[in-house]
Amino acid sequence: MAKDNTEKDTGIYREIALGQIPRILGLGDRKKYSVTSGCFDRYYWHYKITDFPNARFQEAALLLALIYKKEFMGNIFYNKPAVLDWALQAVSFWLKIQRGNGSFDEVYPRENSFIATAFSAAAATEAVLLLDKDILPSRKLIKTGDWLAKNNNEDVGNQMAASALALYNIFLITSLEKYKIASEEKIKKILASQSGEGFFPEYGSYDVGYMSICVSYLAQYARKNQSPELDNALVRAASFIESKVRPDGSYDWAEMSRQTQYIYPFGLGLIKSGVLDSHVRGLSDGAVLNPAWMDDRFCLPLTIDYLRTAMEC
Amino acid sequence: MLNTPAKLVILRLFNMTFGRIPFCSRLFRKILVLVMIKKAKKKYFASSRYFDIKDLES
Repeated sequence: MAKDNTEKDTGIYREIALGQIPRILGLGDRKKYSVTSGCFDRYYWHYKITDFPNARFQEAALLLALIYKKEFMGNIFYNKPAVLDWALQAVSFWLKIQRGNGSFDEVYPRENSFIATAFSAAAATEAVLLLDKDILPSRKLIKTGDWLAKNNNEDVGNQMAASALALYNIFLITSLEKYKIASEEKIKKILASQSGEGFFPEYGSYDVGYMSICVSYLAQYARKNQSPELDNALVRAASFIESKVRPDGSYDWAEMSRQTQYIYPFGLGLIKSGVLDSHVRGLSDGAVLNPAWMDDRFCLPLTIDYLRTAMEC
Repeated sequence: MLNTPAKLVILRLFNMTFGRIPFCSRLFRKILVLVMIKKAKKKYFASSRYFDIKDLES
């Protein structure tokens, strides 16, 4: 069962996240007048190994916005104008690589990826809301909002949750009610897919790692647009995750539908789940995977989630 | 000089044809070093452009 853990020490999330920030900054082209200024796909702008930029690297915009705006122990990036510039450049480059139909690519050119569009839009819009800067041209944002409203990937709960948050943020920025409605439709689909046991399906079955991403985005959404149905679904989902996670923070990932090895703690922290106790213990003992163990692509969003857990839970 | 889908297709066509011949592969590498490092105005160094703490003050 979910329980209150307001006294929990989430400092370990802060320490791990802060350790990854210089690495992530190194992924970005931080030169102001470079043609790829603000691009965080180092494999594209620097190594030139890939022939198009992966939009998911632009989620760095949110990380930069967080470290610029939030004062916390060990944050040497707080209120530094250079960090603000890099955050804004990251958002600008995200807009630059938008496809004509409003979508974004992750794996190959003209992919029109639902996952890249949902997650990068959620991060870019969160960054803009946090920075309170009017830098997103409405016509571009509307294209992404329309594309997300029309498209779904109902097999995968975490992607649907990210798209719901992105749409809600687009509503907050544009004040266009249709995006609030579209986000609520996405939430309805997610809630309808929840199993009797409490999990949100990932390709037909449960996967604790991806489900923790789903919970993270749904809990963020619930803070902005509350509903008793969503709160209840989150408690059931947290209970399911708790039933799978051992006291040392590990779980049998080999039996999961996507064999995911990590846990996103932010949503679980927001809803005061007891899983965080086990997870913190596992991290302290070096027994569970953390962003430092991961490649650049997956390190970035998990670092953001750790940082938000430390700052907001 | 960023990579593009067209450049990548040409590179892979080379890799699958002439690139299979060690001499051609070595020659291609020498050309790349010449163009991207030795003769380039803006030289390419893979292990550069990481974060430097001094960047915060720029």
